[in-house]
Amino acid sequence: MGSITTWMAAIGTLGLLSFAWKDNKFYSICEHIYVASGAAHALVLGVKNIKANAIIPLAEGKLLAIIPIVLGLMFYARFIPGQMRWTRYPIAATVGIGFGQSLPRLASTNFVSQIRATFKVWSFNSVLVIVGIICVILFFYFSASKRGQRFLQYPSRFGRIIMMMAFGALFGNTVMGRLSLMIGRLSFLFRDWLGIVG
Amino acid sequence: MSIFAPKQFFALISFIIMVGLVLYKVQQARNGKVPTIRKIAGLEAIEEAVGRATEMGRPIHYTPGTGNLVAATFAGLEVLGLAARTVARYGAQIIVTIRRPLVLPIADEIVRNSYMAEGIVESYSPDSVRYISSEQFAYAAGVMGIMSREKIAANIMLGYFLAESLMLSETGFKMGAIQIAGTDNRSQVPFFVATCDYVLIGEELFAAGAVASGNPLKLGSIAGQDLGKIYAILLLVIGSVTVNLGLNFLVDLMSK
Amino acid sequence: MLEKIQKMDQRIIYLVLLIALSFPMFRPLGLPVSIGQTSQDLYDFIDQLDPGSVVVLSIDYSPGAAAQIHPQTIAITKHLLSKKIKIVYMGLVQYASQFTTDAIAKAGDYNPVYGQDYVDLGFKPGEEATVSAMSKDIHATFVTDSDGTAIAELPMMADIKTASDIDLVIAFDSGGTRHWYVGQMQALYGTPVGCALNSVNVTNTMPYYDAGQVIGLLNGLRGAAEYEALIGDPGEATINLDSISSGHLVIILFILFGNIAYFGLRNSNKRKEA
Repeated sequence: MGSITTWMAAIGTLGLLSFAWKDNKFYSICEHIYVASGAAHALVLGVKNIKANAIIPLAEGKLLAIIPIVLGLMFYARFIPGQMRWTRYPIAATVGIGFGQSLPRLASTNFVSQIRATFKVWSFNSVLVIVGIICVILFFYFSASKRGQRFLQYPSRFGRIIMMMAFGALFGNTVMGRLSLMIGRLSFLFRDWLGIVG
Repeated sequence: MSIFAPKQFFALISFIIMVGLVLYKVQQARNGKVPTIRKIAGLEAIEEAVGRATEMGRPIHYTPGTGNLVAATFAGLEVLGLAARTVARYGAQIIVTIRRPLVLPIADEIVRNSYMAEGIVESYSPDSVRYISSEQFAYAAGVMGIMSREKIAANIMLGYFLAESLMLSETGFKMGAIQIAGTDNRSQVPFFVATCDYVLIGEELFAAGAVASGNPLKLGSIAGQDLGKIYAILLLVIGSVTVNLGLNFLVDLMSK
Repeated sequence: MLEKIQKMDQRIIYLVLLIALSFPMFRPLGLPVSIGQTSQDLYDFIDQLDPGSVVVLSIDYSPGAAAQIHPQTIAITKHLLSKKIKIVYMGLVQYASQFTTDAIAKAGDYNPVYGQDYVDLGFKPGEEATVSAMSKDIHATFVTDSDGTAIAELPMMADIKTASDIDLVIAFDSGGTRHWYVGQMQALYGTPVGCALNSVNVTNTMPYYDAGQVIGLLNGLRGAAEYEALIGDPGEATINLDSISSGHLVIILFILFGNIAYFGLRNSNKRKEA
């Protein structure tokens, strides 16, 4: 019947699954424990990260580590009345670095490589792909004039149909994923907890 | 050694062209030629959702997604400004749930400013914006509990979402809430389509953010991106035709 | 009748599904596993690597997605160890090391030596910036392994310094880390990238596969079962595949009944209105 940790995991699993029946006290208790343990885990991990990526490098004489430490501390300015504006600088730095980092990926991987991959010898499939791409792009054309909107009406409607078909495929795949998650939990309950399945 | 990374030349040129097109349209907007953006049903439904929640005397739940400071989160936060102003105007109650600590101060400031803009900052409750957990499913479990206990009448989810999307929208559906959702994560759009009343698909979310901000420069940038789409279509058509004519100059150019 | 089907209590659906998923665990159906092309491609790529090649396994999933992805990690680990390929485990999500330890423990009797056959660099925050930095200099990015040992002291890492020294990266991804590997490593350094994904992420990764930016991919629990079949070592995923199949059957039936009820009711309402 497993160890105490297995029991805890099993009770938590049943508690959270009980929401499918209806909202109840058991779910509520498990939910709060889950949220609290998530917070505790994040805190421990946060301390570990600060130590590994800021304190230790600084102790080793890498003075540049001061920059992220100062930026990180600026986030706490929101707790000082009237000083909330200081939080904007680390946010701006985070956004700027993230954007700069992703530029090569967006321009090369998601744009040039993907367009180049559609240059194929014409067949029913390849033409359908090209027409589909163009119509989907036109669905997302927002700034057309009134006349332009009338012109875009049909291709964007076709684009919408194409997208709905893609969403259907996505949905099907995800149903499989969700079933796998449920199977994972059932497998845990039957095998590891109750031991009634070999 | 080349100053460019290998096979990145055409990507750089394309990037410059698209940024140029955006800057051109932004400049036009700055000079007073603000583009008209087509109607986005989900955005217009916010007032309806808030109105209904006010009539029922029940709160509105809003989440700017579970992503970090990515574009979708910013779009979600822009629309949060619009939703919070509407809530303040109607005297309704809003509950904003947050997964990422970095997003918390921004959301908090936006809601506070919205109440200030409506001249009723005293009605703003610091409890409106709640950090739940940075753990994905702990956040989902927490929000599901809040939605259920607070008996929300409207559920607005605009931002970046992962697997929690269906858990949240299914709960909203069970509560009978009017639901407006949007994300740029294609994987999650099908669930919103299945469970929500209004869905903003992909880039519609960014356009909604620009419209909600009311900022002419942001509207200009949306129009600039539209020109970028025309550039993509041109590449697609020219490349496809030339390859089938046996000419590979564009493929060669794009490989540089 | 049609109205009853349409307004069926959701709990009945949950219950039927629960039975459908549980039944094969007690009575396996033993359905055959067919191999998809994307799984075959990933297997073939790994299989043609020479002993001593270097493969990075980026363990980027949370416990919530482990039911789908962890069996993939175990199956691929077994394949790599059997081929005497050097493995560098790392993660852009915080749970990396606990999954790595479990995968090595469950990989069987290959007795890999730490520091020579595999290393675990552990979790590194920084997301895309980490992938970019490690592509240029792995030693400067990680400095130590998950236990705090300097990676300069690990014999295997002496020749693994940049993305060019890596023969394959596999992103075990339940979020979006594969985009970073494709964008930062494949596009800029030409390092081959494979993906081991939860099902929800497969459809939007297919454009990468079609464009040759990803060499192959595994689709959730099914992908894990396919890989287990390919290496001839059926494991947890193969056992659970029967449950998936019976679950799918039930869902298809519900979709059919639901749609028949929906359209039947709509038509009868139209007739009444007429």
